[in-house]
Amino acid sequence: MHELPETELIQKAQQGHPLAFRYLVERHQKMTYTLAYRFLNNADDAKDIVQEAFIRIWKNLDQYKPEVKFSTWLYKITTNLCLDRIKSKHHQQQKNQVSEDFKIASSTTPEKILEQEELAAFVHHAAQTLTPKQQAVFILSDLQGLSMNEIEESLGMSKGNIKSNLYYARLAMQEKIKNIFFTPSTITS
Amino acid sequence: MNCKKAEQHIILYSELSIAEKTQVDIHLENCVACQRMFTTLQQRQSIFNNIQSWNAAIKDPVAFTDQIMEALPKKSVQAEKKRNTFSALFNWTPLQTGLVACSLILFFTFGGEFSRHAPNPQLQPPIKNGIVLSINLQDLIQAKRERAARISLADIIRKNQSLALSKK
Ligand SMILES: [Zn+2]
Repeated sequence: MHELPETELIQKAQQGHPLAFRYLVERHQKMTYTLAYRFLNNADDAKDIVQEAFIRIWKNLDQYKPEVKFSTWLYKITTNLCLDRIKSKHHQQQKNQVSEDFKIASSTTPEKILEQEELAAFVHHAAQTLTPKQQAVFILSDLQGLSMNEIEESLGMSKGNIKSNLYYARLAMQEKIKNIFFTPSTITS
Repeated sequence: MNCKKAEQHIILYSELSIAEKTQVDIHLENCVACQRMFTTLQQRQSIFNNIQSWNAAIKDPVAFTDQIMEALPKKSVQAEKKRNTFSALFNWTPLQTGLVACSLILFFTFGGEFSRHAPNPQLQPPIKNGIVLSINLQDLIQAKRERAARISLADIIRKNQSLALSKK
């Protein structure tokens, strides 16, 4: 069953076969976890969100529309859960805590090209200062590499609204990273 | 295109249409300041593209899958099967539908013949000739229609039988 095309796995899962659903989870949990992690910058929160996202998918499998990619549906649910988590006061408090931790952790890396891991941590952290909409658009577009149509589907926003949020998000993010990206020709600011 | 407009377009360069990109390109060819800004912004943007291939590592992916599966609310496969059998009733092919319709007509036509001669009326089901016993006006009209249909159907069957006999 593991090699079955996704549509067949979904059909079997819709009929209540847990094994088929397990294969879907195995295929998508890494991507879902990465997406949640980019939003929340915290492993435990990201795991919570992934689990909740798959529970929602499982409960609503009947409502799945085959014309939408399964991953897009998963992106939509995960993004909404992350945004809800971000809006919650609880996360806000944790975020402030992370913020303090990060200042200490990143204080030793001002003038070198960062490793991808460090770079990711820095960018994810910086993205947390954007508005939730800007953060969502920026993460889906620039960090997850989704197309404009996929973002539209995932966020339920118009293309104009997406572009406007992306514009301000990129402006802010470029400002934040300008001091960490150094090549001899670009040490200007 | 002026420099202010060009700057806005440069930020969203990857999202522009071909026509918009051409406009920006023409401006860049003639404006050194915007050209420099374009290079810088594209370099910074490449940092984000670089992170696209990064994946957050799940410490124990199998255990995590187990955890997700255990957290799912239980769904009975049997219940789903029953539901599907039920819904399958409404996915008959035309042939199946025809067959079922025929057997229903036959039941309503001849089923009554047996019950009419049943010795003990108390043992009979509450349905006679396909009509529920508590009779109202609607039921009477329906019964009349059915009687008319029964005659024509009986005629057809008789015709077919005689045709079959004559062929033999
Ligand atoms: Zn210019």
